[in-house]
Amino acid sequence: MGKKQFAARLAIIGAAAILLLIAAVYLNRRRQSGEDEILRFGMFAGSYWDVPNGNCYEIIDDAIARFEKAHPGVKVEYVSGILKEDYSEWLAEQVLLGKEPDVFLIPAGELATLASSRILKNLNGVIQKDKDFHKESYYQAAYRYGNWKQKQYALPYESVTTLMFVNKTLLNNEGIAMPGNTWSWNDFLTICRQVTKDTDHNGITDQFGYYGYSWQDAAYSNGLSLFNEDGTASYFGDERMEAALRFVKELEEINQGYTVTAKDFDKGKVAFRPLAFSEYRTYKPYPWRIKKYSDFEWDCVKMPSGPSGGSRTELNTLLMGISSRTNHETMAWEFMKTLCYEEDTQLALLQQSQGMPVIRKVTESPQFQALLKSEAPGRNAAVDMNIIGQVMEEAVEMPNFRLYPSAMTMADGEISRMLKGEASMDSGLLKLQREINALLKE
Amino acid sequence: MSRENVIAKLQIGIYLLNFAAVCLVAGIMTYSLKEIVAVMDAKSFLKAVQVRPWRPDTILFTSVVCYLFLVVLSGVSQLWEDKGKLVRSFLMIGEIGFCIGTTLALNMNYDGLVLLVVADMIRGQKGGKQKLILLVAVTGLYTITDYNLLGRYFGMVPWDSFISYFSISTQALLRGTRSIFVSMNLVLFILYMVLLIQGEHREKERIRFLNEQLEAANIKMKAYAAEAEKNAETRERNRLAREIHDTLGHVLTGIIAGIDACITLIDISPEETKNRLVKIGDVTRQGITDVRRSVKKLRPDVLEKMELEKALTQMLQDVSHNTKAEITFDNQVRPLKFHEDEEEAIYRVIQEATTNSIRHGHGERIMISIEKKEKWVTITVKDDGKGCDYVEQGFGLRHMEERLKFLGGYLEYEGHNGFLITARIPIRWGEEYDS
Repeated sequence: MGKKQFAARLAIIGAAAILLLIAAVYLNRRRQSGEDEILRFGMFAGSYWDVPNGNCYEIIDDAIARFEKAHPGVKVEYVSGILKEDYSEWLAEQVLLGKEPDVFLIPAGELATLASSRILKNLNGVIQKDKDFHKESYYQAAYRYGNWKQKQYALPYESVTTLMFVNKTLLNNEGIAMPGNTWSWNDFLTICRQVTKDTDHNGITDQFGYYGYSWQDAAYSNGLSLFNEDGTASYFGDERMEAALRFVKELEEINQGYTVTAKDFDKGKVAFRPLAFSEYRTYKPYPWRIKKYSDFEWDCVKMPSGPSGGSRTELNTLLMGISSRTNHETMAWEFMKTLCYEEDTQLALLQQSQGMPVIRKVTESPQFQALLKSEAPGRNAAVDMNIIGQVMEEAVEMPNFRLYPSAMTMADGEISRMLKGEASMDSGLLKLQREINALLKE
Repeated sequence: MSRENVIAKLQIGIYLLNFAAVCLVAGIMTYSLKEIVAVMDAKSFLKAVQVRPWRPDTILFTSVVCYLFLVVLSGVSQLWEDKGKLVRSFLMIGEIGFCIGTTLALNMNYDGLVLLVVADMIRGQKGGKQKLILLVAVTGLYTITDYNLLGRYFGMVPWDSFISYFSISTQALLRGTRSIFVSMNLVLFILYMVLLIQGEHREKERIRFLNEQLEAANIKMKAYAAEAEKNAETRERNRLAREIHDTLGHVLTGIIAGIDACITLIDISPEETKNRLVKIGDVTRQGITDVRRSVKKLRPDVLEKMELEKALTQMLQDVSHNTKAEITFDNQVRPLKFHEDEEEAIYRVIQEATTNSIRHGHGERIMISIEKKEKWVTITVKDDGKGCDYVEQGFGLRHMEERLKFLGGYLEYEGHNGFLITARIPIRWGEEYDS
């Protein structure tokens, strides 16, 4: 036996011995783990919509109970008590430790990051295989929000649209009728002009038309999407954009330089304010209705529509996805369907959450209408809450590409300069479009 | 300490060093992932690296297990150095696979294992086409294991991201430690390669030296052979001279003396002259016998000892031992018995033609036939070799032709379809020339 052979043999024996040891430890550990299939779910406490929520776990617990009954041998676990603001970090930590839940809620605006880092599973395959699943059941904007680069990475759990809050008391006092759901920019402008005045005649304007109506609201309601689907081009140079900006500028001029605040609205001094539907759901029924907006009667209508488009709004959606390295792919999908697709759970959302169900059938169901009615006793029958379904239908999903936040920051800065008259509108918008397109190419 | 000994120790050193490096890199990666979680920086880490890192336990487990398998295969490939090509290729592919596995598990943060595989490849390769395969394999391996090229695609996290959560001084220490491992590995690899190539070089040198000696011996042998031939020639000449002198000289002298005596005697005693002339005739006859005996000594050995047919069969048998060609001999003349000079001519023609066929034609079959028509004996030697369009008459053909011409025969040949030689000899039947 040569020396070389000796080295080779020593290497083989040494390495094989360590390998055996590792195998023994591994097998031992396997034997100790239990038999039940355990599915882990990741969620945060409280409401996604930043409104108070009594018992956020009830709806999940019910769904889990139903799911476990339907699938014996499967247990669903979740960690409770993670705050919404800590949830994103918690999820990242679990990913680093390799212990991320099989199914989890996706923190706001993180779909692109999670999908591009391949933390989320591409659902196209399971969706195609599952004959019982029809994506047509969802509101399109809600469903498409879970789509990134032509691949579905998440399902919508609940959504929230923007509605226009109306101070009914103020309009009554001014002798102005409540606007209908088909009102236009011109109606909006007219009412704002009528109500903006100095009520106590001390020389300072103290009643205003609107608060918080942004150029984005105007753009959407004029039928414009700011970006194309995959976030590679923007449309700031569109003439609908210019019309929207002119409209916003006109609105601002009514206030004569006074900056309206949220406090003014809370005090009942402002006629209109765009607000999320979750606020409506929270503050309309007892007990929260006495906490906020208690000095005046209020209701909501659709956003006023621009000359080139309907009253479209941006739809904000809470998404749920499956970990790309789950060991229980089928069960994870079934569980996610229980939460995001089953009508039972989606109906329960109505009672216990402030969002909107994403399944069309549920929103249009008589239960939902009845519930909304019971929450707002004595409300004006002129406002038909069927608008909710319409608004959801017409809504556009929030873009979810990675550079969306930076593109919007850039656009916002430039457009406020235009609104203040520091930059020209027609050439400025084209320039902005060029600059943002360049940014998106990065 | 012998060279082999050093190589063996170096090899164990390389295995151990790489094991330490794999454990260290994997350990630091695992530890830093847990550290990042502990300081609650997970989200910014994920945002910075843009990929999902492997599970900490998976990193440690996969890298160590794959590395150990790599070592086992590397050892086996050394023990099985003389196994078939297929087995060795499989071992090599396995090694490459485990090398890639380990490197991937380490997120391409340590590429030293490539050298280990390269060392095994170089040791196993045996020149020629394998060198090209080796080149391709090594380039491919380096490409795969280089972070900058494919790292993002495979979801790898660079080393700097891993250690960025340690303090600056710790970072420097970790960076330094890793580069020490990388350079140590490189040094050991180069040393190992140098020793390996040196060994190969020495082997080649030894073979070259032996070749030179052989060459020298060959030249000496050739000189000896030439000298021996010259000696034989001289000896043969001397023998001929002696033979001529002893036989012809003696007889001719006797004849001259007898004739002189006859000239003197013829007038005195015709009777006595007659007696003398009879004696002279006897002496002459005796002389012829002697001459014949001398000539006999110059004939080919085989022919001298046995009959032509037997000699031919034997000769062809001897020839066919030394060649792959199949030789058929078709003799239609029985008994095959002619005058000595004719037999010799036949023997030589067949010998020469067969030799030519083997040497130039490279045919698979050689067909030889002898037939007789009236007084002509025809010898044909045909092969299915490559033949030649234009036959250049060499020494062999000329020699044959001359020999035949001497006997009144002639030679024909053509090389279009294999090579065909036809020799015709007129036989002096009945002209008994007894021995």
